[in-house]
Amino acid sequence: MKLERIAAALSAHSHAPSPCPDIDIRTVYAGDRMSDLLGAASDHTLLVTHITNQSLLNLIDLMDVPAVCLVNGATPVDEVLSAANAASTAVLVSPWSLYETCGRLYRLLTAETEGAGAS
Amino acid sequence: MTDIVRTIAGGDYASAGKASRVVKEALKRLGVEPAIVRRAMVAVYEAEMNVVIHAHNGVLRAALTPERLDVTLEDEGPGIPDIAQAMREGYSTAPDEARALGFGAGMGLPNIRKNTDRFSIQSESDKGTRLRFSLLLLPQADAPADICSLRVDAGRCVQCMRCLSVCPTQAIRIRKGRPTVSSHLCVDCTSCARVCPANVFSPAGGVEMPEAQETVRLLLPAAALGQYGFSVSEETMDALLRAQGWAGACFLDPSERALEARMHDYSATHPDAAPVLSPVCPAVINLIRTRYPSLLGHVPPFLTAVEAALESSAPGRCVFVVSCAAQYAVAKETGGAEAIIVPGPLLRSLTPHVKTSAPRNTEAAATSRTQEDTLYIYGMDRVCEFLDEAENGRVKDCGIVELYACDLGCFGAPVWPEHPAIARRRAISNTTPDAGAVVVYRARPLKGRSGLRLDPDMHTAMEKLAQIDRIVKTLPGRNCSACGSPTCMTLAEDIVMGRADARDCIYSKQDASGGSRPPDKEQTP
Repeated sequence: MKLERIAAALSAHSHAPSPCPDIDIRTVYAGDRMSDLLGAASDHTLLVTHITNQSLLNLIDLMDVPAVCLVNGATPVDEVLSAANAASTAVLVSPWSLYETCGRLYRLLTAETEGAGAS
Repeated sequence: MTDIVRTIAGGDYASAGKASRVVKEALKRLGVEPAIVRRAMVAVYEAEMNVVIHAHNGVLRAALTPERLDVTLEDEGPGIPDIAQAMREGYSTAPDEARALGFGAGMGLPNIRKNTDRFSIQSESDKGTRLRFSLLLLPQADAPADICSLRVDAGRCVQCMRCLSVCPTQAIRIRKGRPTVSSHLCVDCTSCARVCPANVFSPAGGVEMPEAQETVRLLLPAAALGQYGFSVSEETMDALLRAQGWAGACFLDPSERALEARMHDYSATHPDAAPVLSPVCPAVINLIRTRYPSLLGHVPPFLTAVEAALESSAPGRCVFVVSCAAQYAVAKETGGAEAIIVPGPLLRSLTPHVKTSAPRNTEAAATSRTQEDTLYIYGMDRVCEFLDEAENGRVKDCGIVELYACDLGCFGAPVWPEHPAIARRRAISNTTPDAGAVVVYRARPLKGRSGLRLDPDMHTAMEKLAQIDRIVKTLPGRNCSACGSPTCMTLAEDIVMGRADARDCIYSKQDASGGSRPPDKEQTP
């Protein structure tokens, strides 16, 4: 699913780089343990997390993840945004809590897979 | 080759990730595939965070070649009291500060294991920890498969066929007078080299003595002391090498003894692991991985003495003299040796100068040590017999077992000219077990080797299996090896796999109709 559609469905604010890059998201991983996030990173994974500090910066910088989604309307710090720009990682900010964000993403992605199966 | 050295300050969370970034830039410059860069970053970053979280300070060293990335992280800190526990997922002693950054979930070391191709840990309480890991950088398809480290000089073969029957994994075939070794089966035990009258097989490794360097030592097995017709001590050998311009000699013996001592602790704390198959001989480990994977749980998670000795020597500061192909293979994989050579050039350069005959001191002759409670088994045949018994669960009372491919351990390796028992008697080792010797934890467990399947498709493989069954019934069952395959069964497999012809059997009739009846025993040409 295109990242743009995900951002729209979450009514998420899309930070750096703009406009929303053309990325195909196939899996979503949500969590706050760095080890898990590092392990889940791939070319088509959206990482959803509470972590907004320097660990997020390292995650973007070292792992070249295509997109991360922060929750609870958190504001990413400038360092994170400039790292995201440098690595062309999309940073979404969902106004919802982690639970609600994941719920919406789940519904969205299963609807797409089922839709694809039916057609 | 690129070398990266970066210091890491413990507790400096703000700088965490900087060392990893340098490694990443280097990998990207080399054009390494993104998926592999990612795996490398998981490992390097987790290791860096370990230092930041747990240690006072540390140093990251990364050596980069187009084929592989070797990383060493050495720190001064509390050390890891129980490595096995630290390797378990979810175990952590991290402070709250680390948890706020998303660390301290106890996944660091397991995550490194998951993303590397080789991983070992050395740790001492209140001193520090040393992690070493490697990643192969070539995409999977281009990476070399299990390559055996036997050098085969096929042109010398006199077709005596002896190697065929001694090979414990039936890896050798002789077709059109030329021997070939299947690298996916060979365990580098050099059984073939022992029986070969024509010196077809020898371990890989340099056959010329490298130029002496004042900063480089020679790493030698005790067998190197027993080859001169009289007793030679470690001191004598050291002095001889210094006279030739080397930094001296160091020996495998201390590492072997440190491993031995560790086996006693391990056996005492792991009563269910009996029989404890001590990782002494790399060829036997290869054999277990190939033929007895069900016994891998009985091999304690430590590196062999060769690997431990190489890991604790500074990179590029030693020339390793190997006794066999299996040692060559682990040395190559471990890295840490500037060069790996076979004993021939060493013996040629030393023999004219060895004169000092040390008096034999029974107390110092510790190389002939044997431990009361350890079972020693020598020779591939006996080793296989023992492992068969172990697989059937009949040797649980055997405690610690040291299995060696060669007679009397490395003293019996075919590359050493002296009789093994005499060599062992003449080799005088004075090194104490704590002379800088370390035992290194094998953080990435040994895995069974996947042999070559009959066919990637299961149904075709089943058909081929049935075909082999049919063909083997038409063969005489004498296992004479005259066809060039070790047994009638292996010939049948070779025929089905298109590697041999039914007519290769010297007894079978050339037409299929008469093939089912074994011919007369006596055949005259």
